[in-house]
Amino acid sequence: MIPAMTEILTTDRLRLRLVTEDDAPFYLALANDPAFIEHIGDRQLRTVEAARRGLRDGPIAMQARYGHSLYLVERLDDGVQLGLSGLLKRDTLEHVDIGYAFLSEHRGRGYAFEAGQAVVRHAAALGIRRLAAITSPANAASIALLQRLGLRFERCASLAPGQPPVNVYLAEPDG
Amino acid sequence: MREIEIRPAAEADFEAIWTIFCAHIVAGESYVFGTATSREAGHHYWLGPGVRSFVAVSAAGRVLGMYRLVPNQVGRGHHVANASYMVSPSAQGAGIGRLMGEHSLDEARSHGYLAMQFNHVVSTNAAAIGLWKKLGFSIVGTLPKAFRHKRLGYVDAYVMYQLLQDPDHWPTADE
Repeated sequence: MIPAMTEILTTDRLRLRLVTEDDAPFYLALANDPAFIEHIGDRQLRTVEAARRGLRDGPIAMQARYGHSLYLVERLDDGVQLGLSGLLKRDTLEHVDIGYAFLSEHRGRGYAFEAGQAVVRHAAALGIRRLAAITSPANAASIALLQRLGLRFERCASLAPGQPPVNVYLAEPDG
Repeated sequence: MREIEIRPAAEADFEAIWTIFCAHIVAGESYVFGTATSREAGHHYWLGPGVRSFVAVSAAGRVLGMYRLVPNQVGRGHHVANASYMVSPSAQGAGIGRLMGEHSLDEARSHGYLAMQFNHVVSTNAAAIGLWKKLGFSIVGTLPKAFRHKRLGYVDAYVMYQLLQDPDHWPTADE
């Protein structure tokens, strides 16, 4: 059983809960999903141990520091792990941004939108007044999702010198 | 230079086109478009009505660059073509610009254009200016400080021009 305190949100079909190091096998699969590598990047995670470190230095550290992070998205029915969705704070971006990644086999069923809606509400509940998102300019599915979630194109940007361009999206103020 | 094909741009190329466009927008060194240029504006520019656009595609099917060909003016200036070119940052120096430049001149001639004009060639873009001169263009005017370069501040821009056919053989200018 999952201790209740790790649960962040539930929706009709989904539970979003805090990530733990034991989610490393799932994270390893997700980070090596071809769509993840194409649109988000190659995190160079090739072993469960590397994935465990990635979680520890990533979402787990972020949760401790900011009180929000990427959450693990599970199906309520059967507990199957579908993806990650949540609220990130990057040094390179002024606003908190919504992030998500789902295993290819679970895409096309509206899970990312359902989780995303809950995360947008969660941001408001945390007092985050301006929610951003970044996406690869080539990721049409992600761009469509952000628009459905009520975010609007803000600008083309490079978050660090030499990095490929990203598209920054912003929610309306207090939206 | 191996097996690079130049073909008419299609709707399915838009994500690749937008990614390259964003990279140039972010760089801010060669085109006037600001970082707030929207995806829709990008679509209109490259694939909008009346725009004849082409992509340079690698043997593997990757879009390496694109150009657009439009009339530079309406009505009595309609016989002069205008073109814009962008090469993916990862494909620069591979001769893609030259291939597209030559292709665009052929394309302009075959569509009956009698001259070609570039309205705003940034004076610090030495590679482009060198290429356009090799392909027959001359600098016919200098626009002092007309470009706000991201790194260099206000710099000159050039108008470049060439006749595509001997005016002695141009069609009659009557209605």
